[in-house]
Amino acid sequence: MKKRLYILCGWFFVFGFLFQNLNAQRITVNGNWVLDLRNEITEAGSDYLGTYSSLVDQTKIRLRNVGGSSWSVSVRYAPNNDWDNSLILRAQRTGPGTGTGIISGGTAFQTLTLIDAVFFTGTNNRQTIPIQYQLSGVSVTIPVITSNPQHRVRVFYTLTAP
Amino acid sequence: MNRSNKKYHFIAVVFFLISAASLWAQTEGGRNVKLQLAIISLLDIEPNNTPITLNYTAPSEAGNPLMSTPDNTKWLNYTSALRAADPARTISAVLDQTIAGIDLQLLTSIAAGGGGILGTPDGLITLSTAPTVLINGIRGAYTGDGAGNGHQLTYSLVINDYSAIVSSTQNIIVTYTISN
Repeated sequence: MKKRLYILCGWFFVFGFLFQNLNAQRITVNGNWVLDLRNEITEAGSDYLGTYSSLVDQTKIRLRNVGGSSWSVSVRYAPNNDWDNSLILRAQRTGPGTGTGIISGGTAFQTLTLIDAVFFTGTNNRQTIPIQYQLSGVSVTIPVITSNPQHRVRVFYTLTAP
Repeated sequence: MNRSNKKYHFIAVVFFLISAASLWAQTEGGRNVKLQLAIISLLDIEPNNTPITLNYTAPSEAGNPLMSTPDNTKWLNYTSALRAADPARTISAVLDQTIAGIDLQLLTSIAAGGGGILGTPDGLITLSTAPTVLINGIRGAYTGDGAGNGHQLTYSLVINDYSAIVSSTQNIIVTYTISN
């Protein structure tokens, strides 16, 4: 009898964990941006335009299991060694996505730094939140990197919810 | 399997699930932004490649030298993008032929407009059928496009041997090359 009780408690524990897992808060981020300017300049004397923007929904964010209380998404970037300091990367939220609740903030370009900064906030689950990037400071004065991964940063989005 | 082993197995399963739980919960996601740039070396003459004419006119007074008016209507534009480890670029000029008794000289001005590490002119040079550097030290830079941007070029004729001069019209091609 005692043995069965142990087994029952064990399975209860296991299913409890699985249930908790399935309901864990989760952020999913999809969509890289590759800005290929290798054929951009064709006229001697010209420089790059300087500022380039991605598609308005270059990256899409999905938030799950955040419950009805408020949450926030912060953003930062981590450059690789070949990223030039004269490049400035910005991001903005170009739409609300879909879902219940509300979403606010992030609708103006925000300069990304190495430190997390609040990007936008909201309540409830949301899907396909569209993110657009803007890169400025692009010039022929930046040393060219011909080996992969060239000039690259990784943009991190962090979900904070109670 | 004895009772003690079963107990350890159960504990292992629990720890595995705890680990799985931490993997399942994901509060951070990342995406890449990548910029691809090319090595560039572009050069042209502005406002166009049409010929210039340098004439010697006969003096009106016996004993005076032949006179020629320099031409400064052409500008040199370039765009240069290179790797950090690449050597600086130079621009050289070469003639397809020379003129008997006369030197064709070129004065290159300091660059106007543009940005980056533009080249340094070598001043007044005498052109020949061997390439002669007129600008050096170009790194990642652009001069701006069109006449009035970049390096102004002033061509002039200088007689080096009066005895070799003959009355004639001679077409000479000046070819510019940017290289590193």
